[in-house]
Amino acid sequence: MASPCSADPLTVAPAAAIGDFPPGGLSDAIVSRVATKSGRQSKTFFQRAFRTLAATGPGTILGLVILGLMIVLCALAPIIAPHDPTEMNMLARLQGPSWQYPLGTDGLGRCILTRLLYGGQISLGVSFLVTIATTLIGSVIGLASAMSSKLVDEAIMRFVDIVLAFPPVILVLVIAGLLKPDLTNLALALIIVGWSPFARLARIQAMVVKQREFVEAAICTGASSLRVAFRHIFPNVLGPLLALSFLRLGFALLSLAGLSFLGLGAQPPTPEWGVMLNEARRYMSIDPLVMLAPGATIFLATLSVSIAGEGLRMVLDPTHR
Amino acid sequence: MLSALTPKLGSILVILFGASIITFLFMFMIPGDPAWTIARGRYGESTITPEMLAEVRAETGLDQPLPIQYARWLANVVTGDLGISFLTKEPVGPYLGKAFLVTLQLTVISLVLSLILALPLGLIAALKPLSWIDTASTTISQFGISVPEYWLGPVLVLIFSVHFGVLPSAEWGDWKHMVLPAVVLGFRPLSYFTRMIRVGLVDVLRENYIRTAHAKGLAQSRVIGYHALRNALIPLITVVGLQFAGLLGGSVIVEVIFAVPGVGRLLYQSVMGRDLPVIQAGVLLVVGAMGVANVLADCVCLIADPTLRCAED
Repeated sequence: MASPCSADPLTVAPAAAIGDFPPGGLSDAIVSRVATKSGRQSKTFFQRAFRTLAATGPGTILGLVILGLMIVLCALAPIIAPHDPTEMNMLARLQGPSWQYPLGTDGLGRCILTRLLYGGQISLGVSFLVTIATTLIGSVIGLASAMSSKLVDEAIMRFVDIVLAFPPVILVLVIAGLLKPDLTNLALALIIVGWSPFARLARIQAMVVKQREFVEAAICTGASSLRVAFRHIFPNVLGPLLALSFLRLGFALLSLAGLSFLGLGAQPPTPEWGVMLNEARRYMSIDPLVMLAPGATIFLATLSVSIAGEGLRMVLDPTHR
Repeated sequence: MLSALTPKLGSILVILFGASIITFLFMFMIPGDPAWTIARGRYGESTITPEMLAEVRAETGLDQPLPIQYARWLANVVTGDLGISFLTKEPVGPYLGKAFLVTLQLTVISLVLSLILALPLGLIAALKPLSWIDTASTTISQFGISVPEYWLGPVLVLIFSVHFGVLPSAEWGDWKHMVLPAVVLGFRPLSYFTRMIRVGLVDVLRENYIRTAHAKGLAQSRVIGYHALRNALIPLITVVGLQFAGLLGGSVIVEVIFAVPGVGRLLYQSVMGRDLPVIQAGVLLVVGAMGVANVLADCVCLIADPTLRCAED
């Protein structure tokens, strides 16, 4: 914490904003709220973080809490789920909510709540893994590009442009579909497609930070370019990258479930939210609840990620205010 | 004005060239021997003989080095020979074109719908920032970004097709078939447009020339509708272009749900059926169309914003 180049982004960003933006207008109202609230003396890191987040509006905290709750519930699925996710009860097909089946049963008499809880382990878990992988790969490529010679940098960025020129859903569809439709290949396809925005952002941010005095100082003291990149530049570009990764988590969630819905990801009877939605389509007109529950779950997860992501971006990414 | 576009056109050509290499390499993504995949696509799995494989290799040039294969493939594509579909045994070009027109139609309709809705939403939100109506419009746009279209689609079908029976749930034909897919597709652009209009207007309303317009006694409606909106809408043009491109390549799921015979569904079917020529041609077409949309948006920007033109001269 002591070194100036690895300063805590939560506190640095609002402080930098005070001078940059004149008061008045919508976005500035939020910025000044952030500035005044976080300007107070707080004791711990968590209190500071909480105040800063709360200042961006009630949604940020709410989104994070809902997301956290979903993760905890899904992680505890083996303990709290009332049934087995693949246990079929043919006598109790398409039932409404009851004490035995809190969200009713699907077309094969399986408990929807149980399947949602277990499904979250896949849908949320794989989305998180994909997002972490794309953030890391993209950041490393972007930093490498910023530290390389002009020619290599240009080549890498042209390649990023080309990958970004493909419509993401179609590229994921083609890669996952041609390899062999299963969950691993879908995750792989999402990673192959998803790293490029991170590379571009990491490079732009690193190019800016590279001009600062402390980087020059580090180079003068004889630090290797690897050390300069990861010890001095990376901590300073982490904020915007984290903000972007939160926004991309929403995309990962939606496309993972969406392509599973199309039959390209997890395969039945795996309890995955998109797969559940697809299976429910057949019984849609008889029993809408079968379809409403997994859809609403995906919606809630994406919504909380997106709302929290907006708030986090306001705090973490000074360029997007 | 043309000089301002030249670098952009150049970079798009480079991107298209790169995209064509990646598209060409799709062939090697299918596990196993590409010649076998092609032979299976043409003659069916059970009848493949080693002679057939050799014939396919010689004919498609699979026995040649990679760069030569690519050059041959690219020459065919550029001259309009997109190959023969494995599934339908017909030339790819004509029916890909037909599918593209459907997607284009759907895209334009949903963009127009969402623009018509976004204008009043963004306008009201910008005029009363941080009020309840602003909060409401922000919330709506949050919903629009997060709602899964593969859920919204069936829900709307449930309401309008199953329950009320006013709109068809699938197929393609007259305007009634376009309503539901266009609405579902339009939700995301609606969110972005509303935000863009609000942010743009809030910024512009702070400018001095707006104060001047007020001070010289102009009516509020004229200040907003003429002076403010004209400048606030310029950033919107870029976003419309981006969303246009995004919808061209992002309507796969909606097209599948509503059985719309567009490029998205065609690509989905081709991927499921390993119909390589259609996949390659379709992906290239979409990437190209997105590039064109991009350039078009830039042209409109140049026309709408004289300061951009001056900067280039």
